[in-house]
Amino acid sequence: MKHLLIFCLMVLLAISASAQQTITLSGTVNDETGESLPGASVYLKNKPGVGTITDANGKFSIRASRGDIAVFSFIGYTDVEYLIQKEDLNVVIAFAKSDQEIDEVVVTALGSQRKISVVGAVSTIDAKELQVPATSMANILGGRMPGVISMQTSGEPGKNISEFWIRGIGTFGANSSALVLIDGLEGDLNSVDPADIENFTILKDASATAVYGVRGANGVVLITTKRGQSGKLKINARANLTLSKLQKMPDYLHAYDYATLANEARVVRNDEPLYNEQEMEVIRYGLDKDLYPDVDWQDEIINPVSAQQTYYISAQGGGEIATYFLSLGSSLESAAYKMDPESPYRANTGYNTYSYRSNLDIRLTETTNIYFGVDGYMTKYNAPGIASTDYLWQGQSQLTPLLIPTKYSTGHLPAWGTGSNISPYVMLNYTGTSSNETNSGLVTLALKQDLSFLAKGLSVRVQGAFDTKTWFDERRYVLPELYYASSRNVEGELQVAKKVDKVAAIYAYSQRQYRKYHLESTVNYEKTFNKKHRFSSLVYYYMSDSKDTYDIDNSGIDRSMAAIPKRYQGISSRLTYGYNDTYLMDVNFGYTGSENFQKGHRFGFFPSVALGWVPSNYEWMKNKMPWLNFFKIRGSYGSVGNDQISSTRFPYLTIINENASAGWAGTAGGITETLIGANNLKWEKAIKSNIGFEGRLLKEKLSFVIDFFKDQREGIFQQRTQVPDYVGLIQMPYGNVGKMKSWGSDGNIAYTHSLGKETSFTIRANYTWSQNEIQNWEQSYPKYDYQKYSGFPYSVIRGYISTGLFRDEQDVESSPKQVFGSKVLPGDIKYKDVNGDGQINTDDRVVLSYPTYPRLMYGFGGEFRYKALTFGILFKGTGNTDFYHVGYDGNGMGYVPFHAQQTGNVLTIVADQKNRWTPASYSGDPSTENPDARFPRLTYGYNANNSQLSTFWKGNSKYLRLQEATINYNWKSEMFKIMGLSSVDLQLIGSNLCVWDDVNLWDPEQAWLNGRAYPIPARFTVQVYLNF
Amino acid sequence: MIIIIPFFNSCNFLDADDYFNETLKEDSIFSNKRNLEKYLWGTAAYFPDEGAIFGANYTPGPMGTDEGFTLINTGEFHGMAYILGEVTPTNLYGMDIWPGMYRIIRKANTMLARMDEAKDLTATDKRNMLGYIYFMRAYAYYHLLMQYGPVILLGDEVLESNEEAGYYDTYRATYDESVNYICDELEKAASYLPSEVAVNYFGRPTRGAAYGLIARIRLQHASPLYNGQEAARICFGNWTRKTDGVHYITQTYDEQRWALAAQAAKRIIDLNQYSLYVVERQGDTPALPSNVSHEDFPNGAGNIDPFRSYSDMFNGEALSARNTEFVWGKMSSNVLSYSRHSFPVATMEGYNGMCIPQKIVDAYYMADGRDINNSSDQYPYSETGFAGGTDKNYSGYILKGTVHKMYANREMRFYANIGFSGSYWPANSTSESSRKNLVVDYYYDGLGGKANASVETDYAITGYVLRKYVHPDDAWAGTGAQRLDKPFPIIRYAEILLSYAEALNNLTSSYTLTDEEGNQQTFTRNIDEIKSSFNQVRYRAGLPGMTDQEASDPKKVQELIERERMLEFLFENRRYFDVRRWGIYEESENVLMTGMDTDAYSDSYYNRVAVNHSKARNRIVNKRLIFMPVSLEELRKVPGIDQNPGWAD
Repeated sequence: MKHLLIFCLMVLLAISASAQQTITLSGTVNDETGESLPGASVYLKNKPGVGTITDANGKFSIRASRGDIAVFSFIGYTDVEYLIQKEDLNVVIAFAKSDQEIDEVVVTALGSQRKISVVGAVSTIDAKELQVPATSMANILGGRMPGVISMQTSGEPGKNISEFWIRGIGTFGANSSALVLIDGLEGDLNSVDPADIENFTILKDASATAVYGVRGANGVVLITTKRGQSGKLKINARANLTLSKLQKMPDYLHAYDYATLANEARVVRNDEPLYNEQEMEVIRYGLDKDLYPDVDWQDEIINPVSAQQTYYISAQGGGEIATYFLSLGSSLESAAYKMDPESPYRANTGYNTYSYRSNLDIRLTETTNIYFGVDGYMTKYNAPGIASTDYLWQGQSQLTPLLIPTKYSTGHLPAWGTGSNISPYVMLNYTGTSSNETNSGLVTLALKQDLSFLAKGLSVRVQGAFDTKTWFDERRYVLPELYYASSRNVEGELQVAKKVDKVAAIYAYSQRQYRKYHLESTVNYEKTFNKKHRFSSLVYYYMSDSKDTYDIDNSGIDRSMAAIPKRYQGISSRLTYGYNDTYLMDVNFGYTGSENFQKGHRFGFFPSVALGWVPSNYEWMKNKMPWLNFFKIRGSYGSVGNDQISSTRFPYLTIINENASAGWAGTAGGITETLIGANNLKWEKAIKSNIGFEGRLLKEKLSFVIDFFKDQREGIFQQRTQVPDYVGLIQMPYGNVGKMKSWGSDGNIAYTHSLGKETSFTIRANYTWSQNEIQNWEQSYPKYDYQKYSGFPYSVIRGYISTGLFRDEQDVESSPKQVFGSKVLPGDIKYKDVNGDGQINTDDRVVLSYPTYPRLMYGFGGEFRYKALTFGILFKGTGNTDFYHVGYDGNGMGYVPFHAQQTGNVLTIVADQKNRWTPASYSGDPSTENPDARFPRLTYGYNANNSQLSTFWKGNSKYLRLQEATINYNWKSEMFKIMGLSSVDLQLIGSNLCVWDDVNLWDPEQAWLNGRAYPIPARFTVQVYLNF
Repeated sequence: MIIIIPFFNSCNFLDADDYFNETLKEDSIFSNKRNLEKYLWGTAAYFPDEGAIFGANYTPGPMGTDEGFTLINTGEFHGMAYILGEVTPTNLYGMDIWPGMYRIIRKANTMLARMDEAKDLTATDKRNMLGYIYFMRAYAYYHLLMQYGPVILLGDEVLESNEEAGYYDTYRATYDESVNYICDELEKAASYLPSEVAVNYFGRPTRGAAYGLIARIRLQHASPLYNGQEAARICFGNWTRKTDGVHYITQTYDEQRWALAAQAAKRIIDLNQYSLYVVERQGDTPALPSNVSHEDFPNGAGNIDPFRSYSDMFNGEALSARNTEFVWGKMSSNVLSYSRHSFPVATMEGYNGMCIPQKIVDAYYMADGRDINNSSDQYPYSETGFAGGTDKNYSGYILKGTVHKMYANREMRFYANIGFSGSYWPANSTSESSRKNLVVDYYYDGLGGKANASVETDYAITGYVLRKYVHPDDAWAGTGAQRLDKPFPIIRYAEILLSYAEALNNLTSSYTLTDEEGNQQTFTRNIDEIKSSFNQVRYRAGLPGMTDQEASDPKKVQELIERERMLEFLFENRRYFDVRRWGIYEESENVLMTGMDTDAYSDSYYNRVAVNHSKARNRIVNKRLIFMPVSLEELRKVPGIDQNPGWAD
């Protein structure tokens, strides 16, 4: 709230300043050739916030007081100052070309580098491309940036945040996620409003991340937020409305079809049919809605359409002494749950976020700058009182249409069982409310001192930050009495029996706190000799100290240890040298330490080197190959570390229990070790190599970057398993024993073309491909080689190889025995006896496929601009990604018909005879014994034989998604000027409009969840930008 | 910046040591006597409760032999899992004591290496502590030797905790090397250990305990299976060490080992510290059969109450800490809790899970020492009809007049050890009359019968339960129900006496041996010595001693000793090892398990029938069961070690 006040105050100041003018200055701004210059900014030096921009004809008009100094500025030109002495309506300002060449810069670790001189593997994205109404930043990245692989598994507000990895998963250690730095401080990617972002960079190789030492092994995401700038006050406002439509929901059978198949499932396993003919008639004609209802649970609990609104406003401006950037944003997103108007707990299920940011730069002296930044965000997630909304999705996939009605005609609320077997309608409407709130605040103070008086190009910067986050979850839970009706008495009255007891209101809460101190300091030195030798050096020191009550709560037994702050300390350096922008070299090292290791082993040294060569700078090349505007080859090699070794802290310590039991009538409280420390532990180390090619050609129209990388991890932290028992250790120690490599490639290409003055288009594409292989995973010796983890990619899926369905009794008899506990019949799944021992058991499980996260991700799209209109489109997709309907995440609930008898919904595809195997003896038709059926012989309930993870249930979740289509109209009108507006952008955005995939039952990104998850909705957004 | 800097104490920023000021550090364990002692007794806690031989057991125990049987699941009764062939090198059913014992060895070695760091440790303290440390280490190896055979000997080494696989490769010692190391270490321990401990330290080993273990190991080492006799050739003829081809178990006979065994036992006898437990003759002590020596114990049983003398040791009546028969004993919660399995379910709220096969029942002598097939007129045996007459009350034990003739006129140990159909269960501690003074029958609808089992496994399918550890006051059901604490006799003097007799009996020539103190002793097959030690055990049970004629025949003596050990040490975890070392495991196990007809009503119950249950029929007899398998995981981790014969590797 405080920040909101400050913000309002500043806006008021700006407005009042402009109200006090006395005279008008107007005229034209010309460039060095005398052509008029549109878009140049004009502001009053001593009155920050007062300013304007020249129009299409280079004309401007500004009101000022006598004695004010007007400043005219334009990129590429030297600023012009003009002392206002009298009213003048025909001033002509002539700019001179600045002699300082403007180089395109890239934000890299601890600063920025000229793009031409970057030799590490770095991806950037134009901040404009991030200005889309996504639910979180992480969701925007996949398919947009080379080097990112992302996965979104829920569409529910508050949970619809993607997981993402830079260049895939490189380690099976404790942490494989990237380091996210917002203005140099570790932060949460999803806490930033895209409109606050000035630069967005991903650092991928050892050279680029080296200065972060231990923290950079899994890649680094760098975000810098906008800062104030001298000149006219710029206010940007944005409002949008998004309608989300749930799509790709599972289709379940209605009552009659369900009952028909239930009978089949019983009879084909030699059981009585579940429903007799009379009951079937009752079901068919819906004669008894209490005992034989026909409920579509999705209809009962889901509104297919829900809304999200976001609002954002920012102000940017400043003067000689200080500049500022202020922003406020909020998002109100509701979930697609349909609350009964009668429900007493009309929780507004959804997710709301609020964020603010204030960046102040103050010039204390000519050479001293102070930066003061405050930012924060608040989120609130509201849900019904059930422990998790996942239960709703499980409920709708579990409760069959026939099991219970929404409400009995007697007014009783129904339940089949407890937990996820309560009707989702009850879960949603009668369980009270719960909410999760988070608050986060970060305060940063930095001081930058230019030390040019000592040596030209030398500067030092010191920054400190204090970061706090709190989480507060509360739950007001109730449950009414729930009943189940099994029959009617002779009078026809419904016989209801209580199934679930009433739960009187329960209030519960939990909270979590996190805090972090951070201090860092950078010394920079830059020098250019003879305009050809560019040299820069940097030394960086940092230390941080953080503590999280979550770690303490989840540490198992030893909280005292988890409560010890996590600390880092490190010093790192970078030296760069470039000759004539043709030969480039970076040498980096990081020397960083963490408290997790023993004295003497705390610090790790991580050097790296990168070389670049730009042959396109040679004159002869410019002459011979004029079509090649720029070409660079670069390579890097180096090591980075990862100290996120496990949840176990201080594994070097031997832990002692002073209150252990004592034997042989010993003193009370024996002493024993509970964990034997290992004294030779060190960092997990990544040796990364990268080679990249960059180029621009055809008059700068076509540009491309392509990188190949290899990441060799050594010393991955694992609890040992191969130390023999005879050594006598109380527990296996931890050791740096794991080894893994990953490799792949990423790249992007863009082509921009102008078709006349007002029409142009850009097409672009990118991809990320990464593979990995475990080279050593210490495990207890497996019986067969194929049971090893080593030699396979990380988290591969293991299971049985299905050889189809059993044809007949003889086939069952003559095949190896399948020992899963259920009687095997023709039409059941047959497995391969891999070890040839004549029976199928866990030893026959082999590696079937890669894990369920994608290994190839790509995106392509483009923009087409015509006058003020821009059309944009973006597709994203993944390569082959296997998944399993059964055995990977549960026993097939939601996919396998009748998976738990009464609780096992049946997909409509099962009703199609060609999709299931039915014995001829039941169907009377031999062709129903279809060996290629999608479902084996039906079982009413769990079938152990058919519920194993096997290739039978394999699917491919690769997809191509029309991720986004946008229309943007930049609307300029004289009318706006009256309101102080310079322009208005109107946008129509559709996201997730269409998916092409092979799953076809639900969203491919949620493939293995079998419809038990909030789908990823299609979203339609109207967005308005107001530019003041 | 200045505001932030104080948050960091930059000079030892990464040092978390201060946070551990309150917690005990590894080094502090060894820095003073108090902690070192706590560590010592903490180490002792890693030994299994020796009384855990029934369920939740660390060793196959009685259920792994022909002396016990249960229907209750093999997950609890590991001995059944063993004998049903369910134990495999990948699943040792909770009996894999290998890791636990090596933990003790590591801890012992750590203490030996670091105990000098404790500055307040006096020379006496150190001697005391050394005694226990050496004993613990040797005792851990002893457990390994008994369970798995040849051990990996580590000496004083404390291995590094986090090294490459190659560092850990090693090999197993031979059986002889293992035995010699353990005995030497026990000798070392004995030289430091006190000869007795205070009452409140009952359970702590003494010098006698170390001697007792040596005696047990030496006897085992001399026995046919481990001493190059036929059994050794059959079982271990092909078992050689892969590293050098040496036989793990010797294939040549060395008679001197018997002399060593005799010497080891004799040493304990000569301490004059131990004697068999006896209770003086009382008013209700039954008349001693005329063929039993009426002299005072130990030359006869004239002045003792044989039933109480035997029974009181086990049921908690005798003061265990002062029991001179316990060379080493301890109180055991396992014995106490598993004594509940002797009681019938329902009324007495027992578990009815500890059966005794007919074979054991039949082996108990008649009161005058005769076999059931050769009973006298005075103490007749019959398998038809009931005893009749009034209830007998002798030595505090009530034998109902309604019992079957099979259970009349038997020796005292039979009544002390076996609960049979028609037994009288006093359960004195409860005040609920319906739950005490009950006659428990095991026919179909009897109190302990199948019909009254709440779960199908909760009945004594052989018709007999173990009564040994049950005190007349013990009750599990009803108001006021209490139990007396139970000891477990780890080494009883009776064993020393019988071992001595057995060792002497196996000598064919004379051996003169020098003991640790330099005294020379000569051992020969001295009939008087055999008789006097064997007969003590007999007299205490109220039975006649071995005759001169019997004593003159080594084969007969061996037979008598084997039977005596079976009866005397019923459910004391000796038989599992005895039948193996004697080389008779296969023949003793290969006997159809029989019992009374518990599927029948009382009228046809008293018939010997094969135990009608798959768990009885599926018991396996296989040489591989001589030793427990070494865990397959351990074998894979240490390529140099060999698996025990017959087990998968």
